[in-house]
Amino acid sequence: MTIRENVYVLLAAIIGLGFTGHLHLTADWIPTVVIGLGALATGWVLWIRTSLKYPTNPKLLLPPYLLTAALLMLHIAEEYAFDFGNHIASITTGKWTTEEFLWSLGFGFPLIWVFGAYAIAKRNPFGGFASWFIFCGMLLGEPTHLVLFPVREIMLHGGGYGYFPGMWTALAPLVPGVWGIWVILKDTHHQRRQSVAIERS
Amino acid sequence: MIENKFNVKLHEHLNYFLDDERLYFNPPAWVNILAVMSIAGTLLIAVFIYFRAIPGMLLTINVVIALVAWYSTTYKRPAKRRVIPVYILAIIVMLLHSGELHFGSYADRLVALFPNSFGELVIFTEYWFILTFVLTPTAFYLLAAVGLFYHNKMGNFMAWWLFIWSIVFPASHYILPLFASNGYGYLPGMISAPFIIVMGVVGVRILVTHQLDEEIVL
Repeated sequence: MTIRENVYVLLAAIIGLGFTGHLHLTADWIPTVVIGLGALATGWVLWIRTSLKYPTNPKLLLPPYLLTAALLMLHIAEEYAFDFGNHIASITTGKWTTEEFLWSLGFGFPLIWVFGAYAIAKRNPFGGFASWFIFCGMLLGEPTHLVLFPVREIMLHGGGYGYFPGMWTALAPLVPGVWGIWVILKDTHHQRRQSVAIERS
Repeated sequence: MIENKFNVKLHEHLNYFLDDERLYFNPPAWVNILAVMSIAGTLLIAVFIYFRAIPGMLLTINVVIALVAWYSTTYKRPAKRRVIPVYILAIIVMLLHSGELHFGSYADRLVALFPNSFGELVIFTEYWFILTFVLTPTAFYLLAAVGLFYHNKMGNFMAWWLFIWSIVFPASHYILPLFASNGYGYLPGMISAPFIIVMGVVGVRILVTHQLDEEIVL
C-alpha cells in the first residue's frame, strides 16, 4: 500500500472507531453491533480488500450510491417520525433518546455518507470506504428492522409481531445497496485484470 | 370447431391494437413543468396551512425563482455532470447549517419571535421542522443528484431549488429579526449562514455556466 492509501485506511479506522464508541456510549449494544461491526468494521475490511487500490469508476458507482443514500435518508426520516431512538432503548439496556438518535443518524452519519458521494465523484479512496460502509449497513442492518427488532420486542415485552419504527422503508435502500456492491466487485475485478495485463506487458 | 373460431376471434381482438413493439417512457418535455408546478404548488399550500405565512413566503420566493431560472437555463440544456460535486458539497453545508438551526431550536425561536404569525393550532415545532425541512429534503436532494447524473429535467429543477434555497433561507435569518416585535437579536442559523450563501452563489454560477452543448428534448 502507498503512504496515501495508508493515511486513508487510518483515517477511516479513526472515523469507524469514533462512531462505534459514540454509539456504544449513547445507544447501547444493538446499534453498536449492527452499525459498528456490521457496517463500519466489515465495510473497512472489504474496502481494503477491493476498491482501496482500485477506486471504482464514478460513472458506474454514483447512481446506486446516491440512490442508496437518498432512500436511507427517507428511512431515517421514518425512524425519526416514529421515535426509533426510544424504541431501541426499550429493547436494550440503553438510554438512546430521539435527540441522540437525531444527532447521530440525522446529522453525523449523513455527513459521512454525503461526503462519500463527493469522494466517489472525485475518485478519492475515501469514497470506497463510504460506499462499503453504507452498502454493508444496508445489507446487514436493514433486515434487522423486520426480523431482530420486532422479535426482541416480543421477547421482552410480549404481544404479537408488529410495527417497529423504520420498518416500512427498511428494505428500500437495500436494493440499490446490493447493486452498488455488485458494481464495486465487478469494477475492482476489471481494474485488477487490467493492471495485471499492463504489468505483464 | 366453435371453440377454435372463438379462440381465433379472441386472438385477433387482443392483438389488434397492442403489439409488442419496444416502446420507451417518452412523455412530452412540458410534462416536467406540469409535474414540478403540481408538486411545488401542493407543497406550498400544505406549508401555508400548517406552518403559516413566514415559512410559506420563503418557500414561495424559492419556488418562483427556481422555476424561472430552471426554465431559462437547464430545462432545455441540462447541467453537465461536473456540477454534481458542487451540488453534493451544498447538501453537506446545508446539513451543517441545519445542525446549527436545530442546536438553537430554530422553529421554537421563530414562533417566539412572531407569535401572531403562527397562531395556536400551528404545528411548526422543532419535530416537524426537522422532519420536513431537514431529513426529508436531504433525501430528495440526494435523489435529485441521481436525476442530475442522468441529465433529467426534474433533477435539474431540484438543483436550482437547492442553490436558490441556499441563498434565500440563510438570508432570511438576518432579515426576519428586523421585523420582530421584541427587537433585533440572534436567530439560529446566523453563524453558518454565510457559508451556505457562498455555496448557493457558487452553485448558481456553475449551473449557468456548465450546461450541455445540445438541447435535450425528453
